[in-house]
Amino acid sequence: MRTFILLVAIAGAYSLLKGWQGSPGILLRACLSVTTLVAGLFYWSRGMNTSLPRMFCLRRASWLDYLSMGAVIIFTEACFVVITSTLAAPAQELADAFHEHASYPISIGKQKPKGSSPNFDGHTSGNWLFNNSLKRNLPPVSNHKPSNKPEVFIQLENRADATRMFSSRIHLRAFAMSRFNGITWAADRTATTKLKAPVTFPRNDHRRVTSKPIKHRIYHSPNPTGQNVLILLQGAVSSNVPSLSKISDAIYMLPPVSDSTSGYSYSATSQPVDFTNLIGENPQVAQTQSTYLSIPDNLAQGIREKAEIFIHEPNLTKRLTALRSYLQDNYRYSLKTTNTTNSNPVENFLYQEKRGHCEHFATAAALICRALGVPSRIAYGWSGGILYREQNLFVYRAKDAHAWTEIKLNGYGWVVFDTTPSDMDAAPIARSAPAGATPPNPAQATAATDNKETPQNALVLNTHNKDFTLNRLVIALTFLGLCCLAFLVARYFKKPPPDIYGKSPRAPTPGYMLSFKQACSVLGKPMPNGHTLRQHIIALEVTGKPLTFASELLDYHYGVFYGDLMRNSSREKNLTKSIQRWYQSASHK
Amino acid sequence: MVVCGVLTADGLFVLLGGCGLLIACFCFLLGKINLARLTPTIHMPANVMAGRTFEIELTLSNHRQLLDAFSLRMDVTLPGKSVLSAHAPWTAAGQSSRTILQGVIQGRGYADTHPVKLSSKFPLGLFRLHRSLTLRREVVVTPMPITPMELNSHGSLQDALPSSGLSTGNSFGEPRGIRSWQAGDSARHINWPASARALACGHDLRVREYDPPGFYPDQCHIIFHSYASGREMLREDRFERAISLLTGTLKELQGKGIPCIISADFLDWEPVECQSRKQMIEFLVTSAKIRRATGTESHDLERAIRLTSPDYAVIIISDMTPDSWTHLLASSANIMAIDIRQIRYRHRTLHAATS
Repeated sequence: MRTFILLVAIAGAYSLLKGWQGSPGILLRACLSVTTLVAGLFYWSRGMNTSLPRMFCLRRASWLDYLSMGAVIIFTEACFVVITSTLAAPAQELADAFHEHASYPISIGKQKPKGSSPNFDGHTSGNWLFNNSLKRNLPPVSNHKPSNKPEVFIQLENRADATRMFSSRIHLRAFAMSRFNGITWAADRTATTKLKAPVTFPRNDHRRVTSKPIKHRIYHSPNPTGQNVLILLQGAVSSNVPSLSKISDAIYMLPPVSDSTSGYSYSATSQPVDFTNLIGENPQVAQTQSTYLSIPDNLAQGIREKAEIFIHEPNLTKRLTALRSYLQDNYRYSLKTTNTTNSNPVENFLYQEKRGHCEHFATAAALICRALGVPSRIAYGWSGGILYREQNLFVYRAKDAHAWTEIKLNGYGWVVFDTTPSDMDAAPIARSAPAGATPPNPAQATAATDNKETPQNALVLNTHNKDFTLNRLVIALTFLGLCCLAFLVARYFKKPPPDIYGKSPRAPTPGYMLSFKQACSVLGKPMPNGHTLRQHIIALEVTGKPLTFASELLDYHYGVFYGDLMRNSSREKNLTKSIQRWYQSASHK
Repeated sequence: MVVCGVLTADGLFVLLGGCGLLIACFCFLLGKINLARLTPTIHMPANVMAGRTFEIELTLSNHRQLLDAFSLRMDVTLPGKSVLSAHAPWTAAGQSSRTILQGVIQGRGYADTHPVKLSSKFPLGLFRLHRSLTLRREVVVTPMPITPMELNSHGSLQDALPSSGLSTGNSFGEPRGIRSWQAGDSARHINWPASARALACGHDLRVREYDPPGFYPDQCHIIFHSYASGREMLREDRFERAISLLTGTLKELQGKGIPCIISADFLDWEPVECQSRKQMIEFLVTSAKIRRATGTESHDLERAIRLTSPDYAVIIISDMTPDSWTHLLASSANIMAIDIRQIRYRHRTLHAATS
């Protein structure tokens, strides 16, 4: 039973540390978690108490004992609270690193990613993009808690472009993938091609794109895993990146930074195309390779049934519009999916749980588009952002990470087809910073980014107040430690010294007995060791020094020490007086 | 949990497992400190009797300056493999914990050192750490006395009791009647209440008459041997019981004021006088340490019997059954052979534990 309760306590501590939607801060959860663990362990150890005879301390516990013990316990608990609240993220890093190393031990080419966690969900801040096979799993269960950490900055050349971008949905693309096997998105690896500045991206089928190109400068820090992907606004035209490595059709890798303290900064030009802007232009499907139309066999039937809903629409625009409305109306956005039946994540999203995050929406839309004959793929990057109008600067944070569908239309190339419900949590829209707000300096922010400071999950204290909280914790710990020390030292000086060092201190000799022994010593009849009081009184009678109060003395002394008689100070005082009188009379004789 | 966390890439498992390891290390260290600088002491009588309860005071002193001692278990092993245990929940720094127990040691023995084991599961019961110590204190456990039933059967030694005249006289070996005093009757056999009534009526003194006559030695020679003929099996427990019978005999005779001489093979047949209480206690202390003699031959026993004075009654005690050695005895009313096979006579147990 006690082991069961201990296991329940461990599970409770784990749940508390893991947190939940709307859970309190990590510090409070760590406190509760440690308390739960200690309570479980205490109960576990309590069950082992034996029914042996008890030995009692000769000194009664004082308030100082309780205080010092309490302080020591609280200090120990506080230490563990600090450990659990500060080491959660490093522990997650360690687990991820080991898992990555165990799962993908073989590196391919020079672009060896150090990690390959398939989660690109915001809370990993884009650090783990894809594995070294250019694959990325759709997680069966998710519970994401993205942070506020600034990750990418876009500096626009002029205010007009900033205003134009702010009024429309912005999609900042990192990479795209086209092959889907039911669980994993993958990109076809091509021969690595080195590109030198100025880099111009192929735009063979963009003749109908007439929008004005947007010039912008990108700032971001190096990825600690080494997966430094070129990040540009969707519809990239050109860039001044000194060198690039193209490893797939839609994945360009940046060269490593020469100085680890500096981040990436490069300019580019893009002509973003969004399907919403093409609704009145009756676009048509572009001819492309079959990869962009393939549907996994295990999902094909269900996807085609979903596509049947929209096939009766008169044209492509209406079909796609109906599809987007269908997904936005019938499915709910949620960063947490439980997938209780442990089924395929797409099936779980489409038919069972009917909730998911941007990656689920984008995957479902891409597959249904393929069933409708529209070439599609999934793209990953950021959307939304905060605009600092005075600086024409967009700041994208980890929680702005996003995934969307791209469809290929004739004359437009790859077009953004974002089906994720549009609100602040789902597909974030651009927001404007308060007037007068000071934006972070992109160069400094990207350079100062600590690669180790990856907010792996919500266990990490908020970035902006982490140091402050840690300092407070350290101060509290120091205070508690000093309290413990002070109590212990006070006890040391307060405790009565033992009678004889190395021997057990016994109950102190009562005053009347001390007087009696002193009187006997002075009268020349010291009470020898081993003599009982009765024996000595008899010996005194034999030597002619009888005690008139002998019976009273014996009754009281033996009653207190061997009977149930309680000590009585007035009786002891009277006995002491009687002893003194006896001593005086005996000494006169 | 750490391995599980690493394999499942769950940082929380890793963290909890790491905390668990940290707690385990912390508990181990604290447990070790908890057992350091502790001194156990015992206070108990130097001489105790097997099977009799006695008071023993266990004290545990904590000589540390700052740290208290928690949840300690103290096990003291006494002679006869008796273990006394106590639990000290809290002992303040520089202080002592104490308890007084009622101890019983089942078998005779002697020891001047006693192993003490201090163990603790503090703080959270994750480890049971222990520390072994040795206490120096001389303890003698004298054998448990068992009075042989032969000493109280057939009217033997009945008259030595002051109240023997009040006996109902219904059982075998008890007084069978009262007759007039005759010349040669021992004064010890005079029944004073009956004599008082008879004298009041003008008659003579009255003495008790026994049927059959009992064992009334004035002085006694006790012989203890471990000789047996035939193929009788040796039993260690019987030796302990025989020692108890020897002790019981000695105490019974001592209580009736009958002086004794003891000759035993484990004493190399050196006669030991036991005429006073002090001599008896000395012999009891000696008997706590003796071991069974293994080379006793028939001629040894014959010689020991031969050397006894005719003025002494002889009591022979052995750890072997009488069938295997009574053939060496001459048929005499002055010799009493104690049978080792007697059970449950006037004692709670005759099964003296081996030490």
